[in-house]
Amino acid sequence: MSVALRERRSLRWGRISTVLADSVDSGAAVWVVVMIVAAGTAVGSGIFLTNLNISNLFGQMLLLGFAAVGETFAVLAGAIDLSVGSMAKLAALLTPGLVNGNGAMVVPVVALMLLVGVMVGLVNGLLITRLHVNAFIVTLGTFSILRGLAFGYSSEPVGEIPASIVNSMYLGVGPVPAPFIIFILLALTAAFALRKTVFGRRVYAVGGDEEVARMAGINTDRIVLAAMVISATFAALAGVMQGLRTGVGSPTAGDGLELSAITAVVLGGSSLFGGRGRLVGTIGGVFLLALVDNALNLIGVSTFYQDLVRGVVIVIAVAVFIRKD
Amino acid sequence: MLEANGGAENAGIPLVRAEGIVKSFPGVKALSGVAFECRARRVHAIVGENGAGKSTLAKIIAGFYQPDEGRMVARGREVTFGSPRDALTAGIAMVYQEFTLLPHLSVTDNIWLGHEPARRGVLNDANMKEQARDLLMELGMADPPLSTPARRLSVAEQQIVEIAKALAHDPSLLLMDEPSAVLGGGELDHLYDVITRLVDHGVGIVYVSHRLAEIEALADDVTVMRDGCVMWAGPAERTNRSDMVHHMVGRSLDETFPHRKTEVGDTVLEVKSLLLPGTEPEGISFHVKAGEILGVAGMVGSGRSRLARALVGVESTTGGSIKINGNQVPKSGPRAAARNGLVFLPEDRKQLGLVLDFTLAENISLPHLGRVSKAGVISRSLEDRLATDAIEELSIRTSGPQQAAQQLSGGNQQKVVLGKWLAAEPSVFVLDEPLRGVDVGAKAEIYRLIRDLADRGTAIMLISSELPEILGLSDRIIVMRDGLVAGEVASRDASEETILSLAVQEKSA
Ligand SMILES: Nc1ncnc2c1ncn2[C@@H]1O[C@H](COP(=O)(O)OP(=O)(O)OP(=O)(O)O)[C@@H](O)[C@H]1O
Ligand SMILES: [Mg+2]
Repeated sequence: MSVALRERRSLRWGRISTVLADSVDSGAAVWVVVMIVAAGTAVGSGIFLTNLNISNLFGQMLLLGFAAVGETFAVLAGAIDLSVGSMAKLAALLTPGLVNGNGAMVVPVVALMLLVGVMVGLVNGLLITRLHVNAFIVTLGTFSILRGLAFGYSSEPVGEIPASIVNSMYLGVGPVPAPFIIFILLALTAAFALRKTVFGRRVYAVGGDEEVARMAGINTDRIVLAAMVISATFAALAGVMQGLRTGVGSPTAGDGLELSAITAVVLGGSSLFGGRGRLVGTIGGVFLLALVDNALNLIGVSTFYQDLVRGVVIVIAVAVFIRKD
Repeated sequence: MLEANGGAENAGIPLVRAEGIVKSFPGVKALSGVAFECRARRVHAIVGENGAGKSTLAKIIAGFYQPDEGRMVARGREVTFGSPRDALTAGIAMVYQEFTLLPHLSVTDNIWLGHEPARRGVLNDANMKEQARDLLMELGMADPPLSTPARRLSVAEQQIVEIAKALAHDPSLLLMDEPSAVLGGGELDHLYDVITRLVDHGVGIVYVSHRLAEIEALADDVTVMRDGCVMWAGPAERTNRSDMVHHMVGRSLDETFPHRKTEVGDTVLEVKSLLLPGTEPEGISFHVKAGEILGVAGMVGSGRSRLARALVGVESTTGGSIKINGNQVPKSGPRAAARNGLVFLPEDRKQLGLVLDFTLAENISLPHLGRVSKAGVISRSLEDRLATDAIEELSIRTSGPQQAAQQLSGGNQQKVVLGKWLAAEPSVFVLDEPLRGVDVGAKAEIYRLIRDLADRGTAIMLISSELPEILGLSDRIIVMRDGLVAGEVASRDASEETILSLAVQEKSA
């Protein structure tokens, strides 16, 4: 191959890789994959586009969706939150458990769960900022503690949500259930907060380079603290939604959620080291993970192969789209 | 925007006074009992060798470090700054010696980081852009790249943004740690103008620099530091260049340049019609011979660094050839270039030159691992010996070869990068601003090392914005303008004027 030709090729490749990198940056890349997988499933299965399936898909996305939105704050701020799975599990168990069939209790219990979320986030954040312990270690600890508390409360299905409330969780606009609309509204608010507010700018700054943020006069501890509180509160909300939707507290709820949430964040193009990424990307990651599960069910792949296929899809998506710098 | 604390009655009041400041880092006492004062309407210069403690002192005043002992008084009141935020609140801003921009954030967003104009927490983009544009234009950027991410800027542009970032705080005391190190002619004039204007508005300036000529022109007061102590302090009119040097290094310095001892040999590097975007149709052609030092002069932005990067294949080219000893060099990156004997020392060493988490020895041995290892196992003692040689030759101020590069002062980090490559003895050595931030004492030593390398047969291409350095060290000089070679002169026939006139000549459009 002549030198000139090789150079022209490498230039072209350079341009392609810039476009790729930019689309990862904007969170658009993962949405392209979402479209492709959705189109493929629609072609392969006649059930995919039915109202029932779409409604199902959106409903199943909630647990991961809320948790991943919160996780995005923790990751962008240069931390990580491994406790979201246990937090969600605790809330998913306690909500039906404490309501226990009494409709009047729903609102106070939900409020209590969110408060617990705030507290857990505060504990995580204070341990990270005051004791200067790595976020990975801190949240691994709270992960275990919350899990222990949840199992201490109950290791079997527990409690009950009144049927009328459970049913309302499945109603909405056409195939879109009301909780999903709430999710989208909250996600949009979170995206706005990250891109357009002073707080969001500082989250990116602290995650990008804590030293530089400090030089600029930013109270970096407060930002990390806030990000951890947001993360845990969203995790609590994820658990609450799960509890309300299923109507009964399940001790397996939230298992592995922290890993799915982090996967969604990374698939969305965020850097695990903080400071770069978009919330729309995370939402794309959530859609992708939910779609793959849904598609595997529809096509009738056995559970054993589901894990395998899911893993392969994730590795390929990450290999192609994750930032390489 | 600068009315902050004008008024003649404030003229000369001490904005900040530090007394008995002591600061230790593990293994080093960076400051041992330093007194310092900066007054309104005055430029107070701090000079000293690399590692003397200049940056540490400035960072303590800016609240970045907390002193172990000593007290600070700001505007008559005793203060303790727990963080830069406290100092910023007290009207003290700093331009750090390090790179402090977030690479992926836009220029505007970097400038406002930490005090973003906002309405009820929502960023006011229009407002930020407008003010950022004003600041940057004041600093001489004709068309500020407001939305460009900081990583896409040239080193000089990044520095201007750093300065704008500090100015955006509208400080009453501005600390500038080597703000001019990476700037060239036109930009420097703007910087000096801005400083003069700030001073007229009552601002006090602390100015750290190794450019003594600049200090003679700018400073009202001078503090000379050595080994964490103040050696001399007083009004600028009571000192001069040679006194300052004497206080800095403890002896008088011979500021002459070393001479070539061997004959120039055959052509080693030959570049023919190298085409970079904007250099069409003729491209860039030049050559460097064995044992020769080719100076590359030109204004900042004239394409010198771009040319250097193109030589090692980091900048894309569309044609032309690069040959070393007659062999074509593939334009596929620095590693391929190094295999062909071409080594490049890039200008933005703040980011590229060092592995900050490595020790000094690990950094220096990195390109020479073959020489310090046996059967693939790295010998710590060989590695330390290589590093110790470099420490001595370049007078690097460090607690030893095992100190982390992160902990070295800015100028000493610079010396480590140089040491790493001087030990390599390549066929062609391209140096982009190699002496930026290096103190006067070490400079003389490094000039000698570069000349020695040439005498041993290396062809050297030296890019520098310091005309005396180019004139003193080079055998031959090419001057670049608008991306092209505007002319070539033998250095013995050249003067600063001939070079400048080639560098700025109007295009006959
Ligand atoms: N974070 C740190 N950890 C350990 N040692 C440090 C640290 N910062 C500075 N030092 C040491 O303190 C001494 C003074 O460093 P300082 O950066 O103040 O020097 P400087 O006068 O600014 O030098 P330069 O001209 O090279 O910028 C040096 O010996 C340096 O190695
Ligand atoms: Mg310094």
